[in-house]
Amino acid sequence: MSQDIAGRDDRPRAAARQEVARQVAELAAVYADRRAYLADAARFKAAGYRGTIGYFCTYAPEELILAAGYHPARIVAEPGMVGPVDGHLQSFACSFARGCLDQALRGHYDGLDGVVFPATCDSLRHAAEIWKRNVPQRFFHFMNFPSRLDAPGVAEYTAREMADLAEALGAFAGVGAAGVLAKLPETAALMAEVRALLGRLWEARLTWPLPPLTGTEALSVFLAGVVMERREYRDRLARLVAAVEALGPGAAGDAAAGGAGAGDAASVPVRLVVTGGVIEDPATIRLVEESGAVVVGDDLCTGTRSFVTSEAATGGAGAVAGTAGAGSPADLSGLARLYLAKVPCPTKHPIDRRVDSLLGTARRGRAAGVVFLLQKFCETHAFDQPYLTSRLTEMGLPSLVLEVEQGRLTEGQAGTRLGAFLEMIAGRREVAANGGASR
Amino acid sequence: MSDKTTGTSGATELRAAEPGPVKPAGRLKADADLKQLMGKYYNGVFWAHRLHRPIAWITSGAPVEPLYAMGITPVYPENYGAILGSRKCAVEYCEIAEGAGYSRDLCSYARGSIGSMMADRGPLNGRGLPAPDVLICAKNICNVVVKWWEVMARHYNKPLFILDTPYVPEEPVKPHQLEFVRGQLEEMIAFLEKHTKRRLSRSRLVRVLENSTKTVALWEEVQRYRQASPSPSSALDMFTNMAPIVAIRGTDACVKYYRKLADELKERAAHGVGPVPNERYRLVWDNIAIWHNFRLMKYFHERGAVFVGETYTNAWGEYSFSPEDYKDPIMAMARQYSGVLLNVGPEVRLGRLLKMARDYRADGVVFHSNRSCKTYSLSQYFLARGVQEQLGLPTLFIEADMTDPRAYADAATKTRVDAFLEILEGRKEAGGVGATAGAGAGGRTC
Ligand code: SF4
Ligand code: SF4
Repeated sequence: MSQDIAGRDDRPRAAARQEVARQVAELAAVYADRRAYLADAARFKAAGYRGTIGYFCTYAPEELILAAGYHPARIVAEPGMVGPVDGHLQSFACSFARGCLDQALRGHYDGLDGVVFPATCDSLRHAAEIWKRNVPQRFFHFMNFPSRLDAPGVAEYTAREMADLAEALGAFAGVGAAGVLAKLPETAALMAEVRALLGRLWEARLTWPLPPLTGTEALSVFLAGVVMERREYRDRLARLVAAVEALGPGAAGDAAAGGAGAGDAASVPVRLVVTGGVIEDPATIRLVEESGAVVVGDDLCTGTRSFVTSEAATGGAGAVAGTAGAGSPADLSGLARLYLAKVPCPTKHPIDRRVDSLLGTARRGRAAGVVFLLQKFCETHAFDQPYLTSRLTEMGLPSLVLEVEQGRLTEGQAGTRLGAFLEMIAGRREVAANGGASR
Repeated sequence: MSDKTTGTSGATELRAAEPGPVKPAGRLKADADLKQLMGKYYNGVFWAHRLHRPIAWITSGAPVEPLYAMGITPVYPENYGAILGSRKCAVEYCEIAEGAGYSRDLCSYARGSIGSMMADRGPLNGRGLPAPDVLICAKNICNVVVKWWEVMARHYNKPLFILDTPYVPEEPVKPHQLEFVRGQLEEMIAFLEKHTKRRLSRSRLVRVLENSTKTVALWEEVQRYRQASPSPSSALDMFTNMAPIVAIRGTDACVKYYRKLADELKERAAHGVGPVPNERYRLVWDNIAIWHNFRLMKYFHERGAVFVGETYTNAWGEYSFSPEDYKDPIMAMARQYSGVLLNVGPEVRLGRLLKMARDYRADGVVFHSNRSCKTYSLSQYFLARGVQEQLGLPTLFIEADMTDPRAYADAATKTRVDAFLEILEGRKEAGGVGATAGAGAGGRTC
């Protein structure tokens, strides 16, 4: 008889778990084959879109792109060697910025009608300028999202920058800014639904004794959503959430052992939280989990920071972005407030909400450790890391810093260091279990 | 503006008539004053607390005028970073920061200054810089400073003010963006008043702005004399001589100093005196100096090449205020501080670079691809293509770091310099001249 870690009959759970895995695999396949998905213009036409517009980062308002009648496709790089970008950007530019630009220069994004860059870091700003001059697209917009989230008048200013974007999109679509704004309540409601569903999944991963998804699976689910047509994605996500909720949180008695995300009851994975920038390859998280861990929460551009408010991340009253707390914005000032309320990325100031979100995620996820996944040459993340590490240490959490270059962890080295990190955590547990030194 | 240069072109003619090799000019006489002036500035910094003057750690691109008007002593960790570089001790301090977890890929000004701060050690008086009472950071030069200033503010647990300036791809700055900056400038003044218990008098602010404007005009004058052949000064002189316009812009002493420097260069230009008297190649330098290796500049000089302009020093000529501005000095500052070199788009930067190359009759442009400073370096390939296509000038890339010598290979660099100068020589022999020759002369990247 199949048993879970606590020795109970887990056959119904295994079947439910299989259903979850099946759905996740479908979504992962869409992401893996994203170029083909995005190249299928007929699909988007049939769904009523004028075309597709790419965007970067968590600060580009997808709602507005949708409201202008375009499908928003997030730009990510494909891991691997780079080529044409070397003629445009030095090797010491952030490897994510270089990777994305490289693909664009190879023509991988030629099918897009345009692109939206929000202001974040120095590297991406330069990448934007190079993109504008070298990638043959008809629409380009750089949005000055503020760096300082607490400046006087910041909400009005952000709304004004969004209005400029709405105007540019409206002109491009031939519907004018008014046409875009008229559609905004509808597209904002759609995105609110998507975020709320993602929020439910993330909460389940974070707080359930048995995380229903591995971190690898969760990243695939998220990434599928920045590629897929959003209504289709919302429907698939709703089914997935239903399947996950049918699976249930697992037994509370298993909490100490962590959750067997992949239904692998034999192992006793260590619960980890990962933090970093854009992780565009689920294999990166798989490498972390392969060593005997399950990633229960994250603070990534391709994860929490895209759809969760900092208030929600710390377990506060405000719910996941787009739901109760912020509502579904009907106008640009609501949209501006929603985006300003997200878990801040390290290019934003002040840092407090970011720190609280990470610590809150680790605490709520009962993480045994935190792994930093830092893009090579990313300055903002590198500057924050020593401070974040010290704050984690203060709360008794060990952390490990790994570098991601051209979308990949350097496997051999990362594997060894992860192994040692998990062993250290296991050692601490043993000491604690034997009534030894407290954390 | 242009009539001030007539003396200069006179000097060019005068020079052309002079025969034979001439001895290179030694150091500028003003250097002694510069040493004294900056010594006095740093003395003031180290004595500030004992004199009950508040200290603000401030970025190079931030509005310093309100501070001088309020009697607050500004301290520039970036300038300090450059000092660590030129005194060749940057690695020692960078390694302290690296040991504390700061990646070696971060800006070396930041690493050096963080290391010095953590160890409370430094080359100026044995200790690090005196602790700040407040910290002021403007994002207009890079995002790095925002993070760096956060680190320092946490270290000292002192209040930090960030001035967020929207990126300006094309001038002019949009009105709502100016309003956003203006609102923050007002907040910055209130912040300074609150934390230093000093009040800002508007008339004093205007006086300081007037001094800034005078300083900038003098700085432009200083630069213009470099249109002469031979150029009366080179990048070596200008990189060191820019310290006052960065750190004490707005003071009377600064105005006085640049008056003196301008007079000296005028005199040199009139008599055909310069660091490279047998000047053969006139070059423009892009990016921050390689502070730890001024020998490289001398290597150029010894081969008849002189730097007649630098985008880095030239950038300081962009700050100036008109009497009209004094009616609303806060708005004027908002405009000025939004349009700085590192906050504008590549086309604007290219335009400024091309103008420099033309005005100074450059034969080529040297790009310091500075590993530390992404905001400065990452558009250089675009700029180089612009220089080649629009002026037909050859360009050279030097891979280095402004203060960290670990990212620099001397022998390989010199080989590239030699090859570059050979190209310039080939062009000379073929009858090609400088930037005035116009487009289509077929330059290429070396
Ligand atoms: S990883 Fe860092 S440097 Fe790269 S785009 Fe993101 S914030 Fe910018
Ligand atoms: S990154 Fe560049 S502009 Fe920013 S502080 Fe460093 S050297 Fe200065």
